[in-house]
Amino acid sequence: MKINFVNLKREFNLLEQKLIKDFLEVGNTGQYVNGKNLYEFERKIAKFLGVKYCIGVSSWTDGAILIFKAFSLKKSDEVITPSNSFLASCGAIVAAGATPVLADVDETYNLSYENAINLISNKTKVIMPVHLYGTPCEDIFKLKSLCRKRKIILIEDAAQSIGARIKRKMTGAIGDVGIFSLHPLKNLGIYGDGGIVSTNNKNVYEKLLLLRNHGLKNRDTATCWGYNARLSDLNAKFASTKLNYLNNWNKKHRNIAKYYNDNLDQSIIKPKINPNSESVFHNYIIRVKKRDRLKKYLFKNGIETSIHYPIPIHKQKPFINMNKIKLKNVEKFSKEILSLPIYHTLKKKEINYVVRKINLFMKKNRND
Amino acid sequence: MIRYSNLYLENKIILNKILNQVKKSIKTSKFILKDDVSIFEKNICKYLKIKYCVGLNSGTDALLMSLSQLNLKKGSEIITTPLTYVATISAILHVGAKPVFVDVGEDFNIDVSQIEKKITKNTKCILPVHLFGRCCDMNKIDQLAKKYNLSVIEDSAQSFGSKIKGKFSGTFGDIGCFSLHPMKTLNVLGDGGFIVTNNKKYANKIRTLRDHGRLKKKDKSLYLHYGFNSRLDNIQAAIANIKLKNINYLIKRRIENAALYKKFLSKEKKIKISFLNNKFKYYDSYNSFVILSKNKKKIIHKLKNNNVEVLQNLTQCITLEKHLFSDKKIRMKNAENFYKNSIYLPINPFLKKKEIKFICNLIISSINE
Ligand SMILES: Cc1ncc(COP(=O)(O)O)c(C=O)c1O
Ligand SMILES: Cc1ncc(COP(=O)(O)O)c(C=O)c1O
Repeated sequence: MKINFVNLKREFNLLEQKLIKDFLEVGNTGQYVNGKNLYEFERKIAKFLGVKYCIGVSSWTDGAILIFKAFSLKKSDEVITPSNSFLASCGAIVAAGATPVLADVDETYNLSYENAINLISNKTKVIMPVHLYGTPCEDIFKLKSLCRKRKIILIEDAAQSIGARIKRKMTGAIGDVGIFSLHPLKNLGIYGDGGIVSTNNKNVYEKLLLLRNHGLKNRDTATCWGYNARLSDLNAKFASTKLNYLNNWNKKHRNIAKYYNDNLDQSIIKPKINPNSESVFHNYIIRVKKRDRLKKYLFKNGIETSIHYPIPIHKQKPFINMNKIKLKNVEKFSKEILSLPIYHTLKKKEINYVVRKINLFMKKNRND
Repeated sequence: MIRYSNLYLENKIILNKILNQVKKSIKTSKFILKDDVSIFEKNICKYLKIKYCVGLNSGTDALLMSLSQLNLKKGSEIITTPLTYVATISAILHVGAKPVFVDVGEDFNIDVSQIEKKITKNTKCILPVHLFGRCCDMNKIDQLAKKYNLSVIEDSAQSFGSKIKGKFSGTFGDIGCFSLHPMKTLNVLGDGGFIVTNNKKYANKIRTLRDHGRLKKKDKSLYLHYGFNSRLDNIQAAIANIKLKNINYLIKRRIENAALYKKFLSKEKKIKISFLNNKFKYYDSYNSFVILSKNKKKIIHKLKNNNVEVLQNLTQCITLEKHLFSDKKIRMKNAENFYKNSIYLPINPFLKKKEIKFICNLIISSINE
């Protein structure tokens, strides 16, 4: 059996007729940027998230850069964010001209209250937890009250967690701002780059509308210096169609995760399932000491896996050039974590096969 | 109704072709920087006769990334025109440099005879904008750049396919910046852009910058530096590849339309027409066609009443915007005049001869009323 780590073709086959209709509809409008399909999607996703405002942007990264600009961050302003994330979380901070402060994570793989509070200084302007792997950061509400007390801005990196909830609140709708990615591999993915910024703050919303569109308040008049960071109408339309299925797909992710949790070998460290939250399992992470051997073994057996992320951000060259730090958990985890295939079109017999092969490997290698 | 843009017509003809291409890309999961992007980059290199092309998310990003290659310091000055899209100027400011404005000449492009006196020890770069599909005098700009050791970054967003003596817009300076925005001559179904250059170092740096600083080598990827997410969508690249096949025809149609306008309007004393004068035999690709007239209001009124859609600048010259430039008064006489008197007439490839004639008759009758 051959099991790909991702399989977007299956999803496309499922929706082909609808997406083609979308394509022709937008194609025939002649309105490809700043058009009605973008605004419709923005209203729809705002409703889905339970926030007042959503702004479509050209990627998570561009959305984050614009948000940091909207809050006028300077070089001396620090942004605390976990090192266990995609490099872009940190890259956006630097691109916007601010200073990243990288934090360790706990057993949930996310930023904990303790990790954050130790790093707060009088330069801290923003805390940006990441709901990594689609799992809500458990301390998000504690971080929120901390931020309120200390007058720090709370920005949620919800790139991987669209539709995930904690205490019934959507991730990305808890802090001052949430930022999502619509990259093709995300749970709500389009066919190119894109992102969404969500907020209840009208000032932030209005500022962002300007910044993503050259600072223009109408076709001609600039009120500030902006950028081109728009989500295209075509992609907004695709996202809008897919949004109708998202809750259902996310539920399938949870079911697969539960199956893995229930059936994988006892000695494997599996994601904890928090009764207060609903992860969307963008990735399903296990931890084993013999990670590299297991990965090879699975590959030989036709199962593709991945590692999120093999090199923590603070060990990446761009960061090391500026700063050398040690973060115990992130470094340890990066050697042990493995991401198993998880997507809503994954078949029962495929999931079974993955479990069987992993358990077989664990059994064979029990004693070394 | 005569529409300013007939993009939906331009796309309608090839929409099925595009759809098949899009389906193919999706079915093979090609979304981010896959072979359609590299094919597009090769196609552009071949078309523009240049060594390197890097596909990006927009023309604005193309400007930002190009300018970021220049080792600018605070106080570095970049010479450019006040008569351009706002993105040209915001890009200069975003990289921390200071725009120094030189007024435009007859053809709405930077007046090259006025550049030299604006050059100081802080000047790092000349940024000509080839507006409306007409190249700036690159001969003169090249001379100045050599004499004072300046970089040249071209804003070719509006001049894909324009040439001077067979040499394409965007290939004169160190880097050429292009937009694939739907209103441009070569366009896609969303945002997109690219840079072209003969400088390998610049090409490689921008190639990694657009993808989070990542260098991809077979299975491995290496993060060399911090970067951005400014990738040309693979699907948009596939669309651009289809459109490129037809681009010469589309440009030819624009040129024919412009010739008709000139034929019908050139005798009118009360209006000034785009590029009536072509003493250097430039090849203009007519991304826009503009007339200037003191009777602007009357003309626009008449055209609107007859269901002709035209565009106009709804604002004053950007250098006069106090909330954007706190400097003491920068006076740009010609550019300011342009904002007061200009009308953008439809010039799209699907405009018919009789429509142009109709528009011209309306214009003539409105000024003589
Ligand atoms: C946690 C996280 N942050 C940021 C990003 C960057 O998102 P984008 O690719 O939309 O710029 C990603 C995804 O790639 C991500 O997973
Ligand atoms: C002269 C000029 N420069 C830059 C741009 C920006 O290009 P884009 O819209 O692709 O960001 C445009 C077009 O909008 C333009 O006309």
